[in-house]
Amino acid sequence: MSTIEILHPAGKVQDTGSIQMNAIPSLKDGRVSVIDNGKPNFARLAAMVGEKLRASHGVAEVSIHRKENPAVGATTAILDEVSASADLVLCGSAD
Amino acid sequence: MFEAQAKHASRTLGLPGARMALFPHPLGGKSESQVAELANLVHANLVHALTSVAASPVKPTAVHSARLAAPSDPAELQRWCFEQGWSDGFPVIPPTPDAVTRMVEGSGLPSDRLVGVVPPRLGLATVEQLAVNAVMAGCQPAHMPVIIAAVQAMLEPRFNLGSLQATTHPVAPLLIVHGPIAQRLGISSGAGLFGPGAMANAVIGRAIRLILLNIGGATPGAVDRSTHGAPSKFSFCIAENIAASPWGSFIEDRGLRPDQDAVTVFGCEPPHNINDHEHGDAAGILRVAADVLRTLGMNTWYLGWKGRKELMLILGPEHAASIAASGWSRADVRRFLYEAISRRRDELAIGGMYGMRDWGADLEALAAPDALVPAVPTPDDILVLVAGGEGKHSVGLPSFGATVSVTRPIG
Repeated sequence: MSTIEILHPAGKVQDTGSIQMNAIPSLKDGRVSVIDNGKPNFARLAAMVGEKLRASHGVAEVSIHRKENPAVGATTAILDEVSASADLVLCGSAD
Repeated sequence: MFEAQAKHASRTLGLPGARMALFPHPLGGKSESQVAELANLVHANLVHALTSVAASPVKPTAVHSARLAAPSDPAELQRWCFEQGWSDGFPVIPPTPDAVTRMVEGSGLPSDRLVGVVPPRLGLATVEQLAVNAVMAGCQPAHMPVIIAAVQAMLEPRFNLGSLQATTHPVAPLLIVHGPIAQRLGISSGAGLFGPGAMANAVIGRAIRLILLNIGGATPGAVDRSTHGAPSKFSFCIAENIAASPWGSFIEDRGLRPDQDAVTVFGCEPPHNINDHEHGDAAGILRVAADVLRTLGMNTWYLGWKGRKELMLILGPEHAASIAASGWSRADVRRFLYEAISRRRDELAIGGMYGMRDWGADLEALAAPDALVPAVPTPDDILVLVAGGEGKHSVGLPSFGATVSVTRPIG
């Protein structure tokens, strides 16, 4: 096949670094924060899953933080609160 | 179904090993008992994800080779680019080093100047990288200043590009070019301006789409989750028809001179037609326009960007002339539409995104079922400009909701 040289259409990405996610030793007495993406039924689902984590793994606290609306990111205030207080963060994605 | 999008997000945000608990789509519309069943599944999957062996060490993000060997045959190049995920399916002009150099020269800027970082892939939009996509789209070097200004405008936080790129909504950024540059570049503001019919509109709009696809990573079906897509996602670029506007240029309301070259980006649905062959008066025409711009299914009723949201009306020259002949200013048009584009609260409650609304206290206070709720916060949030050719048509453009238009000078 005859070829020509072109420049890559996508190019490089910003280096955001990366954090290795490690397994959690235990959730007993842990604090779980949920970022509700605002889509229908997610808050209900999150509350149910939170209760199951309390029962099955001794989670002490489950807090749910709802975004302003589904089409925007979580506010800095939510992110600050979650990062300061949670051992495990669950984020809702999609519909 | 949305797994690829979630993985893409976690990877680009620096958490490539984020654990996922997947469950069948959709969650919306399920009964309480059905949600409870899903909660069992999510709980089990979550525990498994958290307690299973850690993923293998994170690989650094691949850095693309700057130069590639591509098929020289045009048909083969078209097929190959599409298979790589780099095109919209139409033929592409090969971005050879020489072609890209010429395109960069059209910008008047250094090739390595960083214009911005395009979400959600967080691709580096250098002048050269933008030029690569402009070449592929069929642009001329003289188009580069418009493309660069449009990218800068789209990267303003209030435009909310990251959400526009990934949503199920059929939104695309509309580019509106203002000032003498539009005529100089042959960007149509007249008949058929949304296409087909004007090469500059077609290729500049297409360059923006390829930039969003390639640099921004909005791969349809994976990251771009638009339920139906939209023809406006191929190309969506027009010019303002100042010569036919009774009220001067749209950008004067934004503090710019009418002869200033500028571009406005607006995240919206494809045009909704407003056909009115009956009325010759302002109120008559605008009542029809308001009816088109108050559809129950539009995001604008429910979502905003930090309390802001907009609608756009592009008046055809004949409608604009009739409205002006009634003695109405652009501000009069906005005020009329603001009143007319409203719905009873109990109508808004029957569908759309009522359960997800982000209304402030002022709207929530309109609690009575028959209380009229405006679609946008103020009359100034209805963007009114003139474009198009002969005919008794105008178009309405509902926005994505959680986005605010941005106007930026070119150059």
